[in-house]
Amino acid sequence: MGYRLLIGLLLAVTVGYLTLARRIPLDPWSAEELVNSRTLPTLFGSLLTLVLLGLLFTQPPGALRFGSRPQGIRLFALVALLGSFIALLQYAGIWLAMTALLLAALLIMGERRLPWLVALSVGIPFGGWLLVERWLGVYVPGILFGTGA
Amino acid sequence: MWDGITTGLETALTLTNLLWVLVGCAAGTVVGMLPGLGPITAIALMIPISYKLDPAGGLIMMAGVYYGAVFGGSTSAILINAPGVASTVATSFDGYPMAREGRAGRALAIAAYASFAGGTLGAVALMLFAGYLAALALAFQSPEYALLLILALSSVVVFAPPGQRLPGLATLLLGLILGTVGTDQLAGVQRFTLGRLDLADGIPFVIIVMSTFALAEAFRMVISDEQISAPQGQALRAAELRIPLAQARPLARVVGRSSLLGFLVGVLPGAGATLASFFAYDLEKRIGNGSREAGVAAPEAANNAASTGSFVPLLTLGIPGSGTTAVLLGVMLSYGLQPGPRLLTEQPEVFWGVIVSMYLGNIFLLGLNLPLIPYLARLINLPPKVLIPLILGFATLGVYLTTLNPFDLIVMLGLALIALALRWFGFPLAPLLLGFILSGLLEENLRRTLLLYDGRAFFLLERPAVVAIGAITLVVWMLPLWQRLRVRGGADG
Repeated sequence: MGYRLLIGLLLAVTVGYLTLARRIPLDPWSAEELVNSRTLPTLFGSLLTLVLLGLLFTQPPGALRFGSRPQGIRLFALVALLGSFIALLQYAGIWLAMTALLLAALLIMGERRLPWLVALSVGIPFGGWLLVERWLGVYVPGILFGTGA
Repeated sequence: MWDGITTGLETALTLTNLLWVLVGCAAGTVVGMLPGLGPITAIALMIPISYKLDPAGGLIMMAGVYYGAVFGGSTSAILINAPGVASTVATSFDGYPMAREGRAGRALAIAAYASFAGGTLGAVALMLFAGYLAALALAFQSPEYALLLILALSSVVVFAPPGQRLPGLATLLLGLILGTVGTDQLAGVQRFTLGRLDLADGIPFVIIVMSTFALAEAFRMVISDEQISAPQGQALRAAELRIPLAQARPLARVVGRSSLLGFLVGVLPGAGATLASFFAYDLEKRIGNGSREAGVAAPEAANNAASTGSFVPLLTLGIPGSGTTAVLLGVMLSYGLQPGPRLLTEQPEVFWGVIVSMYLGNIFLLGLNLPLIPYLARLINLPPKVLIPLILGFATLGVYLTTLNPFDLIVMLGLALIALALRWFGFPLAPLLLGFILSGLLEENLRRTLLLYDGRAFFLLERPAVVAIGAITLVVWMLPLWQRLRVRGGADG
């Protein structure tokens, strides 16, 4: 059932893509040409629609085994964590946000050893900051703690 | 030529220039290991330092940076399935599974040896045939490229196992579709950007590779029953770095043919190391013994030989064949050097110095990286509860440092979830990546060809290379039918 749902979603996305392909603005000269900005997207989209329709009537090429409910919850927590990280990094800057991301991800994954938690969540961002900002001199924006603050 | 090589040796073998090769290799390896930061970034970051050197020294250092970054990229591809650059994607196909089987050290060692051999053979070929190959590079134009790309794309589907062909075609087309997002380079109109300026330049490669490979793999490890099978905490034995003779012999053949193929593909402007590595991997899976070791050696030898090959059009014609050599062209111009046929006669010490330093750079790289492998390989032995957060950290860092745009991280997260769903049901994701990488090139060359010839295919037959590649493509397309007929014939008989 999940497989058919995935194919159905991909079909919907492809139909949307084809609709957008028809709306690509063309100047009068391009519109007269044999190939223009719409041609290959239309070809790719049409071919994908046919292939997906074919896949709808076949068995999935393979399937992974789902672990357990806690593993599903862990994945959800990691995705939510990445979302929070994206929101945070605009304010805190990449290095502070990275510290928080690594610390939280380690805790979600079940790491409880304090030396590991500190070494990884502080050491990696600090090493990155030294390499990228101090040694390579790359400007990294951030409202509170970025180079540009 | 021998005079030239002597001149090159005299230039490259000074203590100062040897030091700059070493600095370049080390810096390139470190930067290349960071996902998302490839040879272009590494070279661009070293430009301020190169300005302080004389032209020969600066270019020699840059050659070291180039090789170092290519090798560094394959390290992250093998260890955490995060190929930082397109040319190391094919290395991850067998390199990462080897690492998960507890053979990370062996995979890294094979990559180091194959890179060394590919780069060295490429440098020798560059010394011997640069002048002749420049003509070949010029003969390859849009029609030849368009057909070569069609051949590369169709090979991925045709040579897939029978049950994977249709899913492979679906992901290939998905990749091609993702590659059309952004501004159409020929007409200048925005396509599929949904009105967002963030998408005007298209989806950056690093987002696609981090979402489909690194993040999707990390998510799969979290949710799936299957866990990393590497023996935890096992130290790498030095013996793993030595390839047994029985294995070395077939690998030497793999490296030889992949280097030749890689060099020839690398010579063609625009084709580059990525296409070379995919071609070599594909070829090895077809005609080789199909071992994982060969699957690592082939793309590594090919992408290093192709990196060297890409210097042919740059040094002999002044045409940059790839993004990296375009940056190098900028460096050369800033020194007041004009790459092209006159470089060889007017500044032979620069021309031959760069070529000889490529060879030296390979020796330095091998010497630098082999001792590091036992330490690098320990990364894969980390328990998943540590490894997964590290992959998340490196993937997000790689994307953000490349684009500095939080919107790209949102796109990466969305694509990673789609990639996870595709992986879940057994869809191969390598064709998606190949489709994405080649989408822009295919469209540009195909449209240019059709516009130039006004849709009249007859004129294409006057180009011998088009006829040859077209014939090979037709044969490749017919292979599944022929295999089916053979199986049916065998069953009837």
